[in-house]
Amino acid sequence: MNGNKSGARYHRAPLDYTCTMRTRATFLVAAILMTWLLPACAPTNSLLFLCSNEESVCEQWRADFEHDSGITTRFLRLPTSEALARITSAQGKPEFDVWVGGPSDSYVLASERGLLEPYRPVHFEDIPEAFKDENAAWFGVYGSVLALCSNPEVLTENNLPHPTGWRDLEDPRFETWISAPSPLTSGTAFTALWTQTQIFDEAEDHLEKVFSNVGRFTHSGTAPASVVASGEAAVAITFAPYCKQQFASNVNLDVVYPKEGTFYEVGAAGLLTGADSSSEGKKLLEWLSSTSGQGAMERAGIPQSPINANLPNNLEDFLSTTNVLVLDATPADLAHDRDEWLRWATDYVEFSK
Amino acid sequence: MSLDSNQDRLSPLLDVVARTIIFITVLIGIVYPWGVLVLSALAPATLASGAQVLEAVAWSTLDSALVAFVTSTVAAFVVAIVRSLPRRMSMVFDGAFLLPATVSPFVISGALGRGFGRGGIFAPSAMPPFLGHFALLISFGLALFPYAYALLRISVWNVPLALIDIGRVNGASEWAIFRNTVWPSLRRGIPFAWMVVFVLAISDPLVPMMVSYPHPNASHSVWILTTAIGDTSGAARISIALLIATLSVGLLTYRTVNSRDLFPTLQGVSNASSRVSFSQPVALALWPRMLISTLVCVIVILPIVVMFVTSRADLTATFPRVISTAVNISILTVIGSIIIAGSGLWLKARRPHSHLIDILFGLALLIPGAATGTALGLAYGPASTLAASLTPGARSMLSSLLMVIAYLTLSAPLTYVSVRAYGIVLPKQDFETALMLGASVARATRVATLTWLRQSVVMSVTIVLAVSAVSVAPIMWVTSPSTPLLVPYLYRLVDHADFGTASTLALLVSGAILLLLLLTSLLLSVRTFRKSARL
Repeated sequence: MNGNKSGARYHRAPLDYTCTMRTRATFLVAAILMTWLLPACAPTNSLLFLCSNEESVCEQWRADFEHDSGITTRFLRLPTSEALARITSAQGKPEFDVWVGGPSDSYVLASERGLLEPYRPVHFEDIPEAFKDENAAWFGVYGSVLALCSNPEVLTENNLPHPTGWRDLEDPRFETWISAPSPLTSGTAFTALWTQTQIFDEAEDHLEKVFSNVGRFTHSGTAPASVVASGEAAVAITFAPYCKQQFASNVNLDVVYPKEGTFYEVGAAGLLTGADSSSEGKKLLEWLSSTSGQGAMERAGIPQSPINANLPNNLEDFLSTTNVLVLDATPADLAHDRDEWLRWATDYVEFSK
Repeated sequence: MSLDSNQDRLSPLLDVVARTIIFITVLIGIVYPWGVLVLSALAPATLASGAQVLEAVAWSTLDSALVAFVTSTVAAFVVAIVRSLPRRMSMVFDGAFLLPATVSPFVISGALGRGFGRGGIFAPSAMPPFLGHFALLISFGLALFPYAYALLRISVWNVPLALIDIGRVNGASEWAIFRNTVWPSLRRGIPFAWMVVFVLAISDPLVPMMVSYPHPNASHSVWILTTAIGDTSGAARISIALLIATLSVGLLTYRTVNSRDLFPTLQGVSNASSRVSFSQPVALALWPRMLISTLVCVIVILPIVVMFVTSRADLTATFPRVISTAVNISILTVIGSIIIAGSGLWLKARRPHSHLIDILFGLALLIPGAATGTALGLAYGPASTLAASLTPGARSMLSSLLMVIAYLTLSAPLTYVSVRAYGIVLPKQDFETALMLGASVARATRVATLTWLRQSVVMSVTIVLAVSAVSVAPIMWVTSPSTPLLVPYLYRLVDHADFGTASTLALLVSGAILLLLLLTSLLLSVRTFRKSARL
């Protein structure tokens, strides 16, 4: 019996010791895990902006503003149409503080839906009237002109004509050689679609011919230039800066402004109504319209024109001096046609055979 | 305290805990989201007319059915051949055929385009673009072949090998042997493999977006209507139609299987030493079988080869953030999967003859990911009534949890099915053995739980990693292409024609999955060996 008792004690002591060590180790692992996981889920007071520009510009805005202001800043990138759908469905409690980037016609709609809170940054007066909302619900940050971005090597290799205008894209020889963003997801695509509806009387017929030549509709408006640069397609419908961005990769691409006429985007910014970090959001708007903010696109490697009329190579100067035929319209014109053409695009692109 | 009285006290308590967990899971994952979805479908405004909804669902059903038919048929043929090969050869083919399963279908589709489409690295200049309906079928076929192959391979594990040897000794023809031994098992597995491929194909919006857009596709329409246009009513209607179509097809499959047990092909533990017969086929030369297997294998792994050739070393600055976010979300998903699947397994172990838990987990896998994604997005997404009623901090947490819930809708049922497939039940035997050897109830519980956890964790980690790296639905419905998670990020890269970076990332993750699979199979074989030895 004694032996058994002592034996039991002998076995129990190291067992308890082991259990204690294991328990400690378990707690330690749990503590490390919690320390690791909780910050990922924890709420923060940092500024959160919704970005509809090319991701590299969004990241440049974030990093530069954080550096200049000291405010911790995060962003989510969404194509313009998705961004508008997202903030519209937020039921008055926005997830984001500021929306930056993407054609301003979507900002006109957002303003009409009461999603934007007016704010006039210091440099508001330096922005031309055509590139801002008179009630300061939004203002322009950058500008880009719509263009055809073609790969001359691919065109020549495949005996394809070098397109100079929208009508050229109807040519059946371009079947599957055109890369374009989906008008259902991309603001770039909607600007292109609307531009063509203004130029052609039989717009639907023209668009159907062009769209039937599109090999793959990309999700994002910034993607077609990359698709053409990779040789997957020969011509992209996109904003000129996205095409010029590819020059850095030593890809030879031609930027052609359609001879029938083209249009431009005013990439806008606005404070979202009911933003949680409204004061930080206003600081971002101030910064975006400042010289530092206006130079961020160039620093990111995308030559989008600044909007501030006092800066060199600004959009107004480009439009007034260029030989390119540019439609005379306002972002509100696009905005008011949006529902009608979005319905057409849904029927044609999403539900057609 | 006697063994019986200990069990009497503990088991009912664990029953209550398990039932509560399953109840909450069903409430959060199915009842509430689908309630919101049905209510949304009743709202009047929608861009999608009834005819358009029907057309999109009909095309998706037809496309997916065709993909599933061709894939299952080819897989059945290949399985029949591979299982007749010497064991070492069949193991090589098993490994090779499973490779594409570690990569998302839209990446496979991108690889085919980059490799053999216009301007591709293996394509002559006159090659047409890898686009259109045919490209859709090829992409899905190659991407989903491994699933059909794996399920059918498992279904023939339990073929009575002694019967094959007896047949050969007695001079039966190979065809007669096959028809009477292998075929009955294979035949039972085919509907199951067909159904899995069908559900995976019908839930994926990205392959149609990559190769055949515009072409009516229900998943794609649901995705665009939900995320881009904000037409929740239209998305909800298509989701419900998609669910009805899938459940109808599922019911047909269930009737074809003709068994009350939902996992008839997945039962039983593979005995590593008896996968092929000891005797060799008579009058069947080895080389034609090797040639056919090799040919199919080369075709199936071609996209992976293209990925190797096109991969580039320059990963973007976002890459570390993608990995860290994926790891954070995955840890929570693994924990959730183990808790939910463990509760289901406990209840199944307590009532082995009840099929309720099997049906529940089986149905969870049967629901198309597109419909699940829409339901989850409407119920818990940023535009949901629930999110709007929360504080900003709580909303931020909800959006992180939503990703975990989205992964759990796949990983928890898959963990349950996988554990069932390997024949592992809750370690009741370990628990009883520990009690008989004099351990306290607490210690016996701890020993049994830890033993089970070790295997479940590694299996669950493998499943969660595979789900987060491969599955498109429902995660694409609750994130955006810029979200630093594996699949959305990969999609963004492929959409921007940056296939080199996408290949590198996909191959890295594929390697990690393969390593984990190896670890899982080693641990499970140890468990299986222990179990066999004890019995």
